[in-house]
Amino acid sequence: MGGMSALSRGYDGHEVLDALQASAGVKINWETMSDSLAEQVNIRITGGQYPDAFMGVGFSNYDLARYGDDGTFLDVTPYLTPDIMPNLCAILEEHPEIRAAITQEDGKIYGLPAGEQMTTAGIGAPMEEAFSIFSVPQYSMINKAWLDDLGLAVPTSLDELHDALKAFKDNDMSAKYYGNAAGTTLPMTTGFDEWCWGQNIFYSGFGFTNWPNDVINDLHLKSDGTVEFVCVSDAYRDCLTYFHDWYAEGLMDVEMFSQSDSQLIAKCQQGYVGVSAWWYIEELMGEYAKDYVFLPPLTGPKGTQYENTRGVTIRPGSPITSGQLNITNKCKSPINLLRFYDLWYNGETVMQLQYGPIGVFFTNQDDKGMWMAITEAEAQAKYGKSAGEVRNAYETMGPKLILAEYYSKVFYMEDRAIERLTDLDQFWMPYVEDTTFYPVDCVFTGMEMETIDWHKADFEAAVKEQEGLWLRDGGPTDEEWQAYKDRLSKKCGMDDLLQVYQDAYDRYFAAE
Amino acid sequence: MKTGVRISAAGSAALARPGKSLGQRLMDNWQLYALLMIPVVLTVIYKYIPMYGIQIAFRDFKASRGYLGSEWVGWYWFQRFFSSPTCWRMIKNTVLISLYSLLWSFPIPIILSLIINQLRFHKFKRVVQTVLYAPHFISVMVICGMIRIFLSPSGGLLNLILGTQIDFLTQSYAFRTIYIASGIWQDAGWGCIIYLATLANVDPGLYEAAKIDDASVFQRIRNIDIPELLPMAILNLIMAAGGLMNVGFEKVWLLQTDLNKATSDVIAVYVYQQGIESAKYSYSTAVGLFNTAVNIILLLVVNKIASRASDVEFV
Amino acid sequence: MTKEKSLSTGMSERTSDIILVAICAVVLVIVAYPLYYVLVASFSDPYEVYAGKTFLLPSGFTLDGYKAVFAEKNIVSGFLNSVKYTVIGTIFSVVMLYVTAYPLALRDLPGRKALSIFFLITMYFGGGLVPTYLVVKSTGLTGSMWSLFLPGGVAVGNMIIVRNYFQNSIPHDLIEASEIDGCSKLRTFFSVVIPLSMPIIAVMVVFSMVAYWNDWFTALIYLGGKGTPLPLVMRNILIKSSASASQAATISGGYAELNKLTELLKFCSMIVAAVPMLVIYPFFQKHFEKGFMAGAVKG
Repeated sequence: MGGMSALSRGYDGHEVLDALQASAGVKINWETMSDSLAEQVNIRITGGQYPDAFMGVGFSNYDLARYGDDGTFLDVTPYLTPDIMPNLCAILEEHPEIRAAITQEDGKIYGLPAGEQMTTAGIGAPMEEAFSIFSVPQYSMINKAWLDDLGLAVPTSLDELHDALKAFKDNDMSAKYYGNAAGTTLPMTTGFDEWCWGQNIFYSGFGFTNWPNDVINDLHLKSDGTVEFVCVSDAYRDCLTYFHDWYAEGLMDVEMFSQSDSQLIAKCQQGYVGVSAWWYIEELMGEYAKDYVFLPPLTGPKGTQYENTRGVTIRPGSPITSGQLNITNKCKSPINLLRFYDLWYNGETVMQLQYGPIGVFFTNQDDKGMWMAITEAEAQAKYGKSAGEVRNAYETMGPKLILAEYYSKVFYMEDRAIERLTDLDQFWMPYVEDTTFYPVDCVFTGMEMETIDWHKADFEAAVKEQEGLWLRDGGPTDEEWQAYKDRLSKKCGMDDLLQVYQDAYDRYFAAE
Repeated sequence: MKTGVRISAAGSAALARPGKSLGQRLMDNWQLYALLMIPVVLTVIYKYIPMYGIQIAFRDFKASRGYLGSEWVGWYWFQRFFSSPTCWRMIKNTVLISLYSLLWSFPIPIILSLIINQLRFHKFKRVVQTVLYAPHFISVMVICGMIRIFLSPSGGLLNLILGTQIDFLTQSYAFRTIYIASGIWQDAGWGCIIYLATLANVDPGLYEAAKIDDASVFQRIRNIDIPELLPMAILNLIMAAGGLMNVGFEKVWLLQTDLNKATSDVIAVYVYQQGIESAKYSYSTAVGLFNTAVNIILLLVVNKIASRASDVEFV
Repeated sequence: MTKEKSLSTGMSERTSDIILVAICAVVLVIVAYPLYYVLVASFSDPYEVYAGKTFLLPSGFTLDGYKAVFAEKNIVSGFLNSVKYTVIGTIFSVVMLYVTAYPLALRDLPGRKALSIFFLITMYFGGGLVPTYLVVKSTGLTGSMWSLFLPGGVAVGNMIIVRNYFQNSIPHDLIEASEIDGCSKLRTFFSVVIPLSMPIIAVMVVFSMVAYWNDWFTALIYLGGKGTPLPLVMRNILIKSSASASQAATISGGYAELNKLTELLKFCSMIVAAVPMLVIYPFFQKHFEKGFMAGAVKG
């Protein structure tokens, strides 16, 4: 039983999987479900009705520890031998950090590694200096045509952006320039602390960008190796106080705290919007895309201590997880099953599991022997579908470990990913001064996981709610600020969390 | 007026055959007991046996160890709930949203059905009923999508009508109104079904007589329809009180934004997130149990008021 | 009394008709407009809908949503499963209601009060999801359609309504008479009680029918992916296309397009799922608005 890509057509008769089963000499009965996976999986484990293995569920580390402790999931360390799993062992040998990331505190491993190391190495950066595609998630953009029309330059500081937004609003540029109804101009619209469409990129003028984060939001690793929560810093307070003025002036969309990404895209594609954030201009702005350019991270307001600040904090990449393939205690022959999954740890195989079979999605190799994905035009001509749809039909959820080096040795990345990484490398990373970030594959002890499990959600929710209220209603008074900090540490476990993340990092650092 | 025809409590006591022994009466009714067998068995198996599992609220439940093998932790989960940062806010919001819902959602179907019942144009009456009942089928997801569209500050209908630009979904003062009003829109028509069926029971002769007396529509409603509806209404009220704290989690969840949590943070959402999504079954059971306890208190209060106001038999 | 008289003469039938119709018309518009809106939205470009451009007519007319819904091969099987569950479930539930409500309506049944309380408790107090799941599993129902019906047992709220209906609306004389004629309790039930309770049967049929038709959660938890009913198929279609703006989903292109389809599907799937119930409803409505026995028996 396991998850499957939402748009997949199922795993029975799946060319790649069938070939792998044949070569491993096993026959697997797939029971797939794509809806509300977590609800069902948990209750079925509780009810004792579960299969030999779960594939593609995405168990959290907390789940793994819990189901590992009670014996539901098998420890696979005894089977990680060159005899049973030659491919995986070779990889783990070469990448001890992957092994470390999936090993529990007590040395046990409850699942096979999975992860996608999409980094700038894929576009030619040296492996040691490569940055994950997720380093800067929000690419801010501005309507250059409107700026030109108003005789303004692309802003480089928050003050300049402020004036530009004001000009957009005062001149009702949506109506004036695109002929939309009067009053439709939205100088700036984003989501609120959202993944690739949040407002966080604009905070860089105050020295931080608190993106949504896989570890815990607002956690910041300083270059001296200590961790802090940026949401209790003075810069954070000043930042919210500053942006409240923008909100009050009507420069930020009133709907920013409630809109869905669909609502954001809808507005942008009508030509209402001056400034927003997304990964690709084309996708967000639709037919107006040609008028937009990236808006670089901005420096802080003049006359303040932030005048020359432009602090973009980067995010870690996506973690190596071990919740994608987990063998349960119902499995009679783990060895056979693991032999099958060992075949997944091969560049060409995992490429086909991720995108589609050779012969369907990959038809050509270039002179370096790299596979080239089907182009949009070929896909339309051959299958009458977009390349994305072809891929969706074949994509298999499971323990796919796509190493950074595959992108330079086995196959080329998708065009969109290359585009995005190029933007990251050429446009965004030059603005990043400090490249430290909290490592996503820190390993926590059982006790630490308990603490995180208990407090993390409450802490993040409390911070986010208060951030929004201050942005909308005006920054905190001294008493409010103090009360907020007290609440975070007394009620929401901030101090305990900080301790946990510091300890885990110290151990991680020591092991490096 | 009608007591002569109906069996009142007093009437039935008189009708009970005097002089028969209990054994005899049990024998007389054996067929009825046989009928009751199936529902009783099902209820024991699927309702009462699971109640034994409520003990997981006091244990650290691990499926592999079973109920009794899981460690007994006493009030640990309850303490944990009461020490969570938003606990009191959730309790307060749940109680308030429940009471306001009851206050508004309960009378409206009654008023609607009294009006619809008096409509004399048959076709129109049909259309009204069918349309009113239709929203019941709209899934919560779609309702919430529509609420977003209608309330949007950029081009939403309500803001256009009011001439404002307010994002109501981020205003904590508006949340309960949005929740309750959309609930009424969706279910008031559905709630009419049972009342209209009850009103269909009114003896047409009474209306004829009222007409001869020259009674107006409103007098007919007051003197004939309302007394007819009252028992059903009280019954519904008591039952609604039983479900008071069961705030629909999905709708709250979909309408919740970071900025309206001051009023939208409710227990039901928390239980869903903890219990079903995160699989913390012991914790969610404990919180759910607390919710039920509050509910029973509210129910007893409503029951007391309702039974004072009428002689409707509930048990 | 005289005051009321004057009021009534002051207000003619015609005036009151006008008032009633006016009220209903207003309510009708308030209720119908959003419904109409969903219909319009299901044919419109969702981004135009979200940008506040749609009011009365579809903007950016499209059939993509319906095409996507009907392209799903599970739609037909989901529909058939739903029909099956709804028919069997409704019959089961209504029978359960009757066999419970009738004995409990008879005031001279020994143990009646205790039995009532026995059922009533389950209305307010339950074991919760996991304990119930464990029982359903150990009785071997998981994966079978009976897991949708049996664990629900008796719908106590509805049972009380039916019971009170029996007590209040079926003349006890008729039951007495039938028993004096020598009919057994069971015979009386079939020959007197059931024929006289058609309106409440119709109501209860509608109630349970709709409940089964809309239910997806029970199916999600207990069926384990086998024999998926329509609402769950619809939900799956929605989830399938709602790649949330998460890390992975936004890497490859086409997110905006996919997202657009999801928004459209929300409206289309709702229309598709609701139509069968809307079509069938008037058929039952006829039964409970007829004013059936009141005149015949009481008058």
